[in-house]
Order: sequence, then structure tokens, then C-alpha cells
Amino acid sequence: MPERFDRATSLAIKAALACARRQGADEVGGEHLLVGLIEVLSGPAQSGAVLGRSHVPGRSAAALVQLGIDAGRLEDAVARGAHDARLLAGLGIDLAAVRREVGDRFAVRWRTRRPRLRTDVKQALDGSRHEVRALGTRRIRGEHLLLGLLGSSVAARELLLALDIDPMAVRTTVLQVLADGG
Amino acid sequence: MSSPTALIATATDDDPLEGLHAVAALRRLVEQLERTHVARARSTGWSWQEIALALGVSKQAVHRKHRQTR
Repeated sequence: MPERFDRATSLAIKAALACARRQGADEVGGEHLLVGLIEVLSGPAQSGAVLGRSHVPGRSAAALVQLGIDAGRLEDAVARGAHDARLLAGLGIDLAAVRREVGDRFAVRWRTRRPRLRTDVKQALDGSRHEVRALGTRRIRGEHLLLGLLGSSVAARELLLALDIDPMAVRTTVLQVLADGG
Repeated sequence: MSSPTALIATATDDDPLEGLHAVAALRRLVEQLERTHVARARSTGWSWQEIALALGVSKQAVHRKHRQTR
């Protein structure tokens, strides 16, 4: 029997789409999915209109807060391009300087109705299937998608690193929450 | 890979991974800069032909890629 995505995962994709639109991106990347997932897993306090009133926070909410992961801070970092800044710095490119040079026009708004899913997001969805298989369940929850995302998306990992959060610590914590029956 | 600094430290000069990730980031930056400047040119009345010439690509290519740009 194939694995099935639960409601939190589809809400997270919606939230990722909304984040990509707010940022004027033409693609939904791992950085947007990370924001969406944290919004959904952290609960309605930070989630806004996307999730609706019926949404209850995931059981990993407290653990994520403890790690210092916050959807708002993540999105601010996405807006600064923090997910690419360190990699570009390795090539001698100061992304902040480039953005200053180009100014307000940097974030071009796109007319496309629905931004495409970037490859790292597709790989994260596949990765979440492997995660649930490895854990011996069939229901793919937001936590599994987060594990898949950390495994497949450089942008998501770089975004966490930019906020001094260790992606491996997030993985360990999420696995612990899942093991505790969360 | 126990801490952010350790993660960064694992990327040595002869590790292709960091270099490949940097190339991907650079590609995203190039795409974003191209969109930005094409949009600016269009908004100030440049034709697709003029933009294509400046970018060194065909008019068809630039139009196909950027017609969605406001």
C-alpha cells in the first residue's frame, strides 16, 4: 500500500506557495517549504489565514520552539536571501552588496498564478516517503516531510544555518518526537 | 555534522559538494538578476529585440523566458 500524505503536509505545501508568492518568487523552493512546514507544525498562532481555525499544532511544536525555529524569522531570512548568502560568499560574492546595488527592483513580482515546485521540493516529497518507510509507517506527516526536506534541500539547510540552527539537531529532535509517539 | 561550524568545516577545497552547491546558488542569483533587469528594461520601453541583443541571446529565447515578467 502506498504512503499517504496527511493534512498537515498539504497545508504546509499551501503555506509554502503563499510564502513564495509573498516573496515574489516564480518557484517554490526548499526555503519556502521550510517556512510553510514550520508555520504548520508550530500551530495556529503564527499561521494566519492559510490554515483556518480547525488546525491544531503538531506535537513537534514545543520541540521546534525549543530549537529556536520560528516561521517569521525564517521568512525574514528568506527575504534577505540568507539561504544562498554563505554559498555565494564562498565564491567571493557579497549577496547583501548585490541586493543593495539592485535595490527595490530585486524582487520582481511574477504574473504566474502558481509558482512551480523546484526540484529540491519534489525531492523532499520523495524523501518523506523514504522516511516513513524507514520508520515502518504509511502516513506521511509534516514531521516526515521536514525530515525529507532537511535531507534533500540545500536551501533549507542553509537557511537554518544562517540562523545558527543546526539542521542535524532538527533532524534528531524530530526523530525523537516521532519515536515518543508524537 | 554535529554543529553548524562543523558542517561548514567539512567542506574542504577538494570537496566538490560545496562547489556544486555554490554554483546552484550562483545560478539562482543570475536568474534573479536577469529577471530584475529585464523587467526594468521592459518597464522603460525596451523592445524584446533590444533586450535580447544586450543579453546576447535570441529574441525568441528572451521572450519565451520573460513574457510573464511585469
